[in-house]
Amino acid sequence: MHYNVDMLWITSLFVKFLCWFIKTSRLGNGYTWPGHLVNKLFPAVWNSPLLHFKRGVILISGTNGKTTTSKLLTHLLLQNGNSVTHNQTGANMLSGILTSILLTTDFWGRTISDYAVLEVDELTLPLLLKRLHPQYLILTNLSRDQLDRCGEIDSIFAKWLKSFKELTDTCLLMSSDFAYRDEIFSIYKGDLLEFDSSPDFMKYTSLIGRFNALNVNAAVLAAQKIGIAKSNLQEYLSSFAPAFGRGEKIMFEDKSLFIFLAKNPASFNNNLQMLQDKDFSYEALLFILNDNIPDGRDVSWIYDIEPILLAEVCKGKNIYISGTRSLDMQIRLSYAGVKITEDLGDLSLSILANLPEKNIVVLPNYSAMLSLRKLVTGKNIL
Amino acid sequence: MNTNLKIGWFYPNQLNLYGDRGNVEILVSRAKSRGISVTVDEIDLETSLSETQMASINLVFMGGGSDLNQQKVYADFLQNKGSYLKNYLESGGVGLFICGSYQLLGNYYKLADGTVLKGLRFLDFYTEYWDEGKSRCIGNMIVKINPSLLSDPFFAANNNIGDTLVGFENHGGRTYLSENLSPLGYTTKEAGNNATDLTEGLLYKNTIGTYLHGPVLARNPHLADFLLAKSINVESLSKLDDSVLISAHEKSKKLKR
Repeated sequence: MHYNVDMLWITSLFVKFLCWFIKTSRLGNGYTWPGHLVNKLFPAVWNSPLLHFKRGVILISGTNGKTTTSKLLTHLLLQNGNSVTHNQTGANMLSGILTSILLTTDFWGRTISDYAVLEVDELTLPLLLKRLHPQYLILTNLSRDQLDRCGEIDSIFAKWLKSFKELTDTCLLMSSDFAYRDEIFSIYKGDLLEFDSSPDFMKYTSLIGRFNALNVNAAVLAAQKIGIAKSNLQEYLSSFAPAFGRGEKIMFEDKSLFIFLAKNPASFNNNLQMLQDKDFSYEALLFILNDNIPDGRDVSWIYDIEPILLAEVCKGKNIYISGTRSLDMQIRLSYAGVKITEDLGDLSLSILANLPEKNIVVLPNYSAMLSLRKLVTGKNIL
Repeated sequence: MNTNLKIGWFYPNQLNLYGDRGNVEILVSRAKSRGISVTVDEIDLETSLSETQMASINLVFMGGGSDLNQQKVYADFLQNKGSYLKNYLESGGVGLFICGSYQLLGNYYKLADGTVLKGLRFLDFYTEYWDEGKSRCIGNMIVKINPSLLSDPFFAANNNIGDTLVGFENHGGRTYLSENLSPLGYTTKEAGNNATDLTEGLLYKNTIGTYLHGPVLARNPHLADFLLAKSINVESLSKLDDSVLISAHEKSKKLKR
């Protein structure tokens, strides 16, 4: 269907109205289905020249780290005085991305941002590359996650490779320990840069853990390529606050909850490694395991959590569990030699408030993290 | 009686999908809880397996793998390890084969792109990829255990669960057993072997093949103990406190597909 660009203002107004309506009527987060409708009804919206960003588009994809990396880069650009369109709710498929873009437009539907910094779901990346032309593409990694949704990672990567072959003037920024590094090097025609996990820049932030060093270096490398002076980076980085649920500290009554999203083997093991390395004190760990649609129905992956590391991190702490699959977590912990203190059942404010510990590390998977945050902060993300 | 258990874990690096390695952790843990001394031999692409080593193994485990990783191991499997394994299983050795490795025991596995991987031809069955356009077989699964396994004295003596297995299936291939082969069990509405004949898995002597992940032994302690009991040739193992596992097994029957 031919899309009349004059229609863009109506479309963007429609999206803005829907988002406002969903938000005020408390129907939910509402960042997915306005974009979904537009994408279905007017697929040609993607071709509209009005969606062209003045300074460029930066896409971030990979299994882990895309939320933190995109939030970091957005922060650096905002600090630098630029305006940025960013899908900060984490809605990272075509629909959510389209909603985010259309929300930051003027009355006529023209984008008002210098840059778009978008985190992109791994399966969505090839589809988005057909629609949006990025100046920079950051790849964090690719590992097992939600295999019942995504299929095998080899097949995801095959789709990536196919779509990368068509990119020529996109600068690719890639983690130096990316599993498929060699394959990309052999086919990629455009500029290719790598980032590593040196802690030089991370030390200016409140972030911890080797995996976060990779995220920081990815954002810093992109920022430097874009033209942000190295001398400003230290100041910009020091005012960065972690993304929701990614090493976030939430104060609740007399307690500090340290929330580390642990949604797949890689992120779970990374978090455990960090808890083992980092000298910060906590008296209890709370594991929340759900099997809702955004998490994947299959919880088998919890047996890819390193049992020795799990036991070491739990040693001497009180261990609590919750979530729709708490029993599975209890069994997994017991085979690693960890006894639970209590299954908290469905979490409530009074259950949390009555826990005797002051400092509690929470390792939730995705939907568990969202509901915990909503419970203790009283609101949805954004 | 043999109270030493040696687990031969084939291709731990290539064949480990969806936490299948947890099966080894569970077997080791449940054996140690009974005072059985356990060693695990990891048999990888580089391992040159010998008759002596194979003879010292009394439980074989092989996990699932992606199509690509199946392709990486199958040549080595057929040429260098297959004949030892065939003899071992044929003479009643205990083996648990999940998903991709279960497929490798048959005549062949035809992949989505038409490539045919030769199987070990240990037993007469084959696997073909679902037709293009059809989705994979994915979801929670309840399996009614084959009565011949239920009545095996080693199974019956350690059965603290009942006649079901629970887990999660996630596969593209459909497996068809020849008429003289028995399945591990039967599904009601789930796909199992091929989504048509309601069979799931394979049961031959002490060889078990299955599409169940979870990992399969996590919520099926009766199956884990059957494998252990057979391996060390002790009919009834001492009881463990499995109350949480029993609850989890029961709760799993109410999970959405």
